[in-house]
Amino acid sequence: MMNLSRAVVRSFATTAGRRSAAVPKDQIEKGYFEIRKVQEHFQKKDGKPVFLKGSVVDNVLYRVTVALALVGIGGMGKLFYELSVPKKE
Amino acid sequence: MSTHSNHPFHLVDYSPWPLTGAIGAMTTVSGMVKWFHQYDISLFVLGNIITILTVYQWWRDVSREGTYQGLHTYAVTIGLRWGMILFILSEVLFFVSFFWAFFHSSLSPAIELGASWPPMGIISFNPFQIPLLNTAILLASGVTVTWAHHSLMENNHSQTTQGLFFTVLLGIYFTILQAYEYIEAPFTIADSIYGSTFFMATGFHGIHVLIGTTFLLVCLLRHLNNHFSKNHHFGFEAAAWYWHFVDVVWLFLYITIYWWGG
Repeated sequence: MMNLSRAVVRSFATTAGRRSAAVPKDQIEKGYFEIRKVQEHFQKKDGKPVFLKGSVVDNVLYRVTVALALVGIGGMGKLFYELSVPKKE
Repeated sequence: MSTHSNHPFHLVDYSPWPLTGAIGAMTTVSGMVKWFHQYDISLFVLGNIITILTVYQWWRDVSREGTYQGLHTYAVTIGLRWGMILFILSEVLFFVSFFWAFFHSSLSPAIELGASWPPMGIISFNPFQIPLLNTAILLASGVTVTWAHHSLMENNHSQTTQGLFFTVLLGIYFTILQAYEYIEAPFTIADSIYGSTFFMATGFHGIHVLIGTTFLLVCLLRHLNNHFSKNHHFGFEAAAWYWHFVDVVWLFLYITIYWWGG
């Protein structure tokens, strides 16, 4: 059974790696070489977590998300209060 | 954070997204309570917005870690593969419940249904019209996504683009046709057990088609941004696996619910 499991893992684990022969540079899409610049940016050791490493937009999105989450918590609190303390008719 | 370590595994950074995702989900379901009791959808909408913002940024970070930071080593991709397999397995069991309900009622219809299937008063779809066309569409999309996959493994950028584009196009076409079927349906979800099981099964399948189409569209955008290489493209493979799963579910749906059960 262990050998069978390993064989199964081996078969689907090597789907992409099966064709790993070197490819001449002229056959590679040019955009791949531009990826290197982005990779260097995201690998800088500047102490920023990955969710803030991109640009200012990251910071804005993060703050908006957290702010909305806080609003959501407030909304839930208000809802639970209203449902647990019904208004007197 | 350092990309150089003495082990092949990915120790993930601290992330706010599990927390905001949990808050978003809780806000959504609390919003449903508010919707039902106070006829106000504002909290429900807010919860969905929080969730959408979270999933976008969470998956964006995963793409960054894999593509830009080089943290998805071979060992990490093995874990991702098992994760995706188990997710699809849970989806299979999800649909098993709908088929179970359908067969439970259709194989031995109760007296309240007229002891017949389809139940009395139900006019079912002709399986050889739009449903058959939809079958052809999904099968064709299975071919195109496989074409894209093989092109990617052969380092053929343009063919991959074409394959992915046509796959997304076919997915959208399927959704449009299914929406038309729903609009023209001679019965509703409230029309006996037939309507319930039909719309539950086909409705959730439709949602999964939308999810799969979105997944493939994201892969197309990532491919156009050169995120995938011939050796490192598991995000695309996960989308392809998911799409093949959606395709197979439709085949079961078509044969059992449209054809045999119609």
